[in-house]
Amino acid sequence: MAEVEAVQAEETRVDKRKATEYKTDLKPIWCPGCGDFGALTAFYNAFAEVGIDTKDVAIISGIGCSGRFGYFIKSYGFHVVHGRVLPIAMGTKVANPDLHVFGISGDGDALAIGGGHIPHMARRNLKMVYVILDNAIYGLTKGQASPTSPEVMKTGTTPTGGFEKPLDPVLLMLAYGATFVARGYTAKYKAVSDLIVKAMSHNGFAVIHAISPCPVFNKNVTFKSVSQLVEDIPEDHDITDRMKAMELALDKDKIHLGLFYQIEEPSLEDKLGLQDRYAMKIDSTARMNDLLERFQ
Amino acid sequence: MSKQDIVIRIGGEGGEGVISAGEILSRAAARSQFHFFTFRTYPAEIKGGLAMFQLRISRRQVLSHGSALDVLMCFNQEAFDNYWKELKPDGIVLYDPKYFTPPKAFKNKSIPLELEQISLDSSGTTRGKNIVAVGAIGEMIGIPYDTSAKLVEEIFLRKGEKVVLSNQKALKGACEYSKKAIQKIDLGEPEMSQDEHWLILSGNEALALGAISAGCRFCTGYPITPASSVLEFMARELPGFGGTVIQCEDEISAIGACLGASFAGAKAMTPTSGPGLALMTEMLNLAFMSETPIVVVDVQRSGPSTGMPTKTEQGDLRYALYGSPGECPRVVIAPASVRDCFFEMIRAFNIAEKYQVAVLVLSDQTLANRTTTVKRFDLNKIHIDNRIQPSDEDLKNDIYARYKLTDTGVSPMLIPGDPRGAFIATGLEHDEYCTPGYTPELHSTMTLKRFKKLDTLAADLENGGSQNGHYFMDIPKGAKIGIIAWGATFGPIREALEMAKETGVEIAHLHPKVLWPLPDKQIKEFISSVDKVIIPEENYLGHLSEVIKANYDVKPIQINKFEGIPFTPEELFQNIMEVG
Ligand code: SF4
Repeated sequence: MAEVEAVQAEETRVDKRKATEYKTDLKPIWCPGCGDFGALTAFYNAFAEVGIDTKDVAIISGIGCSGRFGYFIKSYGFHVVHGRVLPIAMGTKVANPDLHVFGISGDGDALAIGGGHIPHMARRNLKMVYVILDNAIYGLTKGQASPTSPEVMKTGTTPTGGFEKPLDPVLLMLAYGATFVARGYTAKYKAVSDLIVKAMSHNGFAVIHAISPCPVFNKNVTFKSVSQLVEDIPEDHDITDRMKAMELALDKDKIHLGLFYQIEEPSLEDKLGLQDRYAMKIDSTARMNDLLERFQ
Repeated sequence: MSKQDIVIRIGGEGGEGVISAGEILSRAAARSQFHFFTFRTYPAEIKGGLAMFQLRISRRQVLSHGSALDVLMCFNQEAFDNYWKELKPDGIVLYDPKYFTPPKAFKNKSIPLELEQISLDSSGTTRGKNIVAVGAIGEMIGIPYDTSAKLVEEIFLRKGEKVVLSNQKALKGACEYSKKAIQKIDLGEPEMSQDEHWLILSGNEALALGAISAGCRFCTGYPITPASSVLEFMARELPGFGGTVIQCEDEISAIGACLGASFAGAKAMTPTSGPGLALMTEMLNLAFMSETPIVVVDVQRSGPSTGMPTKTEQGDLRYALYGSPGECPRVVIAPASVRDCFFEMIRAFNIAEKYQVAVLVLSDQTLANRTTTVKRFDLNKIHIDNRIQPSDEDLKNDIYARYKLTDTGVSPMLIPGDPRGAFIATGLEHDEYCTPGYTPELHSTMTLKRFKKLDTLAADLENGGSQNGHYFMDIPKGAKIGIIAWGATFGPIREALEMAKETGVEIAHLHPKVLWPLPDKQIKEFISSVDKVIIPEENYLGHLSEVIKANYDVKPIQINKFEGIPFTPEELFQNIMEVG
């Protein structure tokens, strides 16, 4: 029934949609107080603001608590294996450039097991939005160190404290040459929503690092601790200045929130000329016959 | 001298033009109404090392690269040292006396062919050395000068008129020398008629052509020997068909991108070899669980680990069939010839799309790189299957059931962008509506559903129709011995069995091309009609043998070759006669 109502709502839609239109009937399985709820709300709001059609959305999510994301948003989706959000998103988008493709990973999914894909996606500049929901812990497997865990943090696998330095996704993305790099904090979901809206209109690989605390397993990176450190990027920050963006990311005292960096470069779709390619009228049989001539 | 067919091997230092001489010679042969079959080995080194090109030429179609050599063309001493033992008693050696001369004790006929000198005398440069080899051998077997000269023009035109002319002069000089110094070999009258169209194709080219013809429009891969040439071919040609090729950062990404593209509605494939296939395992499982069609080509090479990348082996069948954590059956297809590479690729896509499964196509290094004459494909006779999409009826009054339970196990699949519904494809256990669930009833129901698709496929294969030709079977009257084999050993086996027939021994032969699901009915029929089953394979363990033993009441006799090189018909014949 909800479906029927949604369809009716779509028909009567004039401009903006209601955020609730994007909700599925499935209740999120996350623990109460999980940071991911904020991210989900941000998505509903962003979609409503853009007025996007659910049929045009494909959400590719990985493994981890964040991996369940796609089930809660009315759209097409692919819940894939651990660490492989980006390759699958790439295939989806290249095969159908009309889709709005979103990748959702946790910090482990994106930066540990899937870390090898990120630089190459940045090089390609495929038009998609990649959101890394960072709780600095493996939540689904009940509390092991992640690539963004603070070095000293004690976890199930680092009982006496860790011994590896944490990665900063923003800094990495800037170094890799991603063309849109932003950071949000899911407690401030309105700002996250704004970043998603901006990212959706970016013609290239748009990455949002969303800090999303796990109140159950991470006692170090908490809403309280993060809230004390976050600060919006100064209004006069030049988003085309990569060095400045890196400086902000390197700030030891603060966690800056907002858009660090955005430049225009041709997207993968532009570089491959996909629009023209898919618009071509091709007589495949005739073309294959021509090709076979060459082997005679 | 007259012969039915001759086997010519050219050997020399990698980079000396050995391979290109062989390629030009084979194309000239095909244009002169000869059939041919080539076999080559590359040196392991990037430059230098021994390279060899073997060419079997005949007026009738040949199915293997042959056994012993009729002609050995040595560019250097190393080639002679390595290959002279493979000469027939009446086989001849051509050698360049500038580099070496066979020892006095060497019994076979040896003819000096001054590659560099002839080139220098006729064209003013020694660079036409390999063209001299082409000219001399061509003259010997009856390839008209004009045919080779025309080909030389086509090949060298992009390097300029001058290069064409100089090479043609070298060719001419070689023909003249050959006329005087080398006895002609008469291969008889052509069987190939002038107006028949024959293609010259390698296995990898045929695979790529088959994929494109099947409708593949998305291809990704990571460079790996001996599969890279499939990816390169696709990169050159697919954009012209409106498709896309992307070289990925690793094989995991390559197969992932294919799954994404397939989810979005494209027919997708990725070519790889053993080490790459290993990395793809988890994604193959995702394909099975999420019921996303995909084709993976494994051009097998000699393993394990890095192994011998430029050598052949039928070493991946067990992995293809069983290499998965969790229960994840796969459809496995092994083309038996270059021609099969084209048609089995189409079958692979048809099955992948129709049953929404992953299909593995097992080729191998020899099949990949051999070139042979293949009758031109009639594109109008190709049957294409596509995935079923939900009808409006399926979507009426209800939310879309992506994993709907059906009689065949196959559920209609929506393509993202379709406004009639939405779904989330998933690797988690799920119900018909994609909702994750872990109940005993759900897991058993959905497991049965996924496995049912394979039963449906097996039944469809057995009932023929568009899936026809998924095995080769020949049971001659009076045959007491039967050979079951797979993949590229087909040609050598056919020729070995002909040799046996000439000695009065009839032998049966079953060669499944779809290896999973097995052609159960035919295997039973075959096994019951012979006394002994022999399974020759180019591996140590006997992979097909294991499968047959596990599934049927028979104890096959194994013949295993694990040297990195393929069976010759002669050695197969002898081995079969010994154990049979
Ligand atoms: S374990 Fe942590 S990250 Fe996972 S759902 Fe619970 S609170 Fe959220």
